[in-house]
Amino acid sequence: MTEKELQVVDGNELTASSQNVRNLPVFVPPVDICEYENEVVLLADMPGVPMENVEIDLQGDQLTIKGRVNPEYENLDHGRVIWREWQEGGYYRQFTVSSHIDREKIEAKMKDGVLKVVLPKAQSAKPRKIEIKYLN
Amino acid sequence: MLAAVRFPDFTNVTNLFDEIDRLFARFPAKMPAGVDSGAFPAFNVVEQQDKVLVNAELPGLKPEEIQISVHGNMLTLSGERKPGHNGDGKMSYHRRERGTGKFSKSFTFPFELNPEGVEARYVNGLLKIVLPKAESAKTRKIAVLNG
Repeated sequence: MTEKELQVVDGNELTASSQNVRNLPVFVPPVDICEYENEVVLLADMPGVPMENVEIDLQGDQLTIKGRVNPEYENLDHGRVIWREWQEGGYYRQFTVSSHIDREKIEAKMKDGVLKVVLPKAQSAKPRKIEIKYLN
Repeated sequence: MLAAVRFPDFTNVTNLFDEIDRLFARFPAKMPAGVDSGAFPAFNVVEQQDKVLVNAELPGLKPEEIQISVHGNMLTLSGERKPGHNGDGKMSYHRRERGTGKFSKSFTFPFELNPEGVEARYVNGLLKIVLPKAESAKTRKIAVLNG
């Protein structure tokens, strides 16, 4: 897997049911979701999004992540785009959080265009070893 | 004089359909918007009068993990993208959509670059490179003298 040359993942554009206020496309960020013994870690690629433009909210079971970019090409004077492989735009994705997650302890970090959300498992969901006692 | 009209041979039509299918099989099902070389990272290039700006989408790297080289009229970016989470022991993927691995991508400009003045910044997962054009490639205004 690591030996393979990296490929660009096509910008997966979100087709929203409601009209966008800003004239920028919204993309579905690619994510990795990894489950560890005590937590679930979600990583999302959102290049161009500064930390202060990330919004995460949890409503019921729905975890929503949103990211906004500060567009640069719009206010670019004296220049023309001669090659374009990616577009500036926002990011939006929703996930359903299982009941095993401790909602109070969800934490998020944004660094170098990657959002990391740590979802700790609730005490009851952690694997427990049940000892078998012999009753005499 | 006889005009030689050849009746089409229908046995070849099925071959023709096969040919067409083969031709179209090479195209991706979904054509991307704009140009796309498919190689990581995705580049946007803006040309200005005396320089070019290259913005590359490179989320989750450290600045020291990105190699930039400029030679003549060619810019090369290379490095390796790591998963960003420790994959030791008891870890299982629910989803794995983010690409990892080595990358190397070159871009050739139709003019020479000045490698001395190249500047690069890494901001919010975007690599922003400013490449000044070589003196010979800059557009010059020539004054027309009267007389």
